Amino acid sequence: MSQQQNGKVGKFILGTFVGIIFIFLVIPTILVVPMSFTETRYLVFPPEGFSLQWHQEFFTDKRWVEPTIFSLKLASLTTVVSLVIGTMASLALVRGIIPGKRIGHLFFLSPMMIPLIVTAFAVYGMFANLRLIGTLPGLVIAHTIIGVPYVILVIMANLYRFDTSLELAARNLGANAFKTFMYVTLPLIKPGIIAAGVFCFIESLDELVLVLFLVGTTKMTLPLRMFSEIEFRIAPTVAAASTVFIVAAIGTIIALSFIEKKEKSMGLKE
Amino acid sequence: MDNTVEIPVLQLAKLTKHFGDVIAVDDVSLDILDGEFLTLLGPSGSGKTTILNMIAGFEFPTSGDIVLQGKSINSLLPEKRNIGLVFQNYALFPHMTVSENIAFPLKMRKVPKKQIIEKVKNTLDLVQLDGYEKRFPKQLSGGQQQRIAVARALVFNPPLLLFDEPLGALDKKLREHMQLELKRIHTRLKRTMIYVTHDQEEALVMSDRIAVMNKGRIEQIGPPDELYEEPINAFVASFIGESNLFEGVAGGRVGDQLTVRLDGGTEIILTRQEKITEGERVRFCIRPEKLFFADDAATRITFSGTIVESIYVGETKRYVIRINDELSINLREMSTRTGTGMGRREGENVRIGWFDESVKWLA
Repeated sequence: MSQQQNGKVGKFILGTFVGIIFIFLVIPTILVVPMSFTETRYLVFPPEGFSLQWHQEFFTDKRWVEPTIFSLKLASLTTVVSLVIGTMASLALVRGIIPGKRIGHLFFLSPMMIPLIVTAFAVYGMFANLRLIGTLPGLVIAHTIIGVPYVILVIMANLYRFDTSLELAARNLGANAFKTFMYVTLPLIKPGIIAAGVFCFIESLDELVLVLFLVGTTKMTLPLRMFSEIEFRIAPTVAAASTVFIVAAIGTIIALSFIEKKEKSMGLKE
Repeated sequence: MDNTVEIPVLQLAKLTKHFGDVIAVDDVSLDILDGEFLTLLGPSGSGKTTILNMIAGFEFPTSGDIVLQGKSINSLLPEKRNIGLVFQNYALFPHMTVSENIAFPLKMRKVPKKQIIEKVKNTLDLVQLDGYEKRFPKQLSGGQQQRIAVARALVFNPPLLLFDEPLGALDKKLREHMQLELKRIHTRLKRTMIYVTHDQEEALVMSDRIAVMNKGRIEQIGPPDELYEEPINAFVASFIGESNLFEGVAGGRVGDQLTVRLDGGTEIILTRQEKITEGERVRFCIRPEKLFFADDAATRITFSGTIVESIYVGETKRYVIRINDELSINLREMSTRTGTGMGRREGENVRIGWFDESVKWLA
């Protein structure tokens, strides 16, 4: 009987703890949404009145539209480049018969461990010489540096769990090394590639430190626009931009869970 | 009846494989005839799977040659060898349906779509799984996955099929069923098959010939009955079936009798052997089921002893009979004439005997 009571007390404490974490982590994010519909020209909580003008500004004002498009372009390119480099590196690190695999692994993961500001400073020095400051390729390269470790972590985990007899079976059945990769390996690590791609995309879309160093004077990314808006005028457009972000993030999560469901129905996942 | 000289489908010539200092396969030579079902039987680490991997092209021999239909395939990549292989874990592609799995080797060979559909259907018929085309492997039972793996290895008509312990993961009932099923497919298609297993019963049930492997070498090769009845050494005698093994020194001959002094000190009188000279070390074995209780029969060669263990296993009853401190003998008796509570009891004193031809001399 006392054990049962202990269980109840434990559950209550756990519930309270989870509740507190929820309040501090999630509520501030959610509060941004109503704040974006305020009629006032500055951010307030609770919002006063109801207006779509800040959302309208976000979707029509060049000051917002251009950085948004630029950020999406940057994030897309970063995702593609990171996935290609990261997948190839993972294959070499897991399957390759090459010396120094451990050191290679650490090398590729190092951008994750080195403080971003240090990377930013180092890249800034090099890019200044190469005239890459303020260019799209420069920013793609910089974001790829931090995107590749995510890809490698996810894809390597996928490859280690991979049943290599499937690849041998494909070879035995007449597929050469390339076809084996295209027909067997790639489809089976696809969930990992999608997850890694989402990571990379969000990481690039959200990144500010490298951008501050490398953006130059002509280009503007969305996080940088938001940052400077908050510094200078605290307009509710920032809340509107955040709301769009939140909706996009929720959309992505729903889409991913649909993909997972489909794979479950195929029996690919337990 | 058939006067044509049989050309082996596959020849292994002095095949050797080293992994660092370990010799996995040691100078193995073997001819596999057309349509033959040959089993490589041995404990784990005996080199049987390494041989299979070398035939499939996943491992390259340190020395020696692999000749398929008269052509050396040593330097061919696995995808160029055209050999069917059923993996231990089936290795079905989880992201493809049953029909996509079976169609895969045909697609790689650029077979026209129409033919692919027809061949997939015929092969599914053969393994009795028509109607399962659209399922994914994970939605099938172990036995069904096994059949799909066989179908996928058969569909492109390879001259040779390899099986790497494919029934290991199935339960006993299903395993026995699949053994007969594979045997049926073999009889029907007359395809050459090499089967790797550590299960001696499986080997006996399925094979035309069995090669018993130990430490990278073939100890003995022959039809199942020959291996069981005429094992050439102690390893084969104890790996296939059960055996009472005896070791000792040959003594003098008296008439047509030969005395052997066993290592424990017991003396045993056997029928005289021409080859054996006095003082020579000898080994022989007698299968437990070839021994019998001889209390009434006038058998010449007998032992007296006490039953120390009596185990009922359904169709037979197993006894351990203690002759003296050094020597115990296993005896197996069919349950034909025994019933519940019948048969001999532990502690009973018995005399056991055997016929001359049951004694098998070993190297």
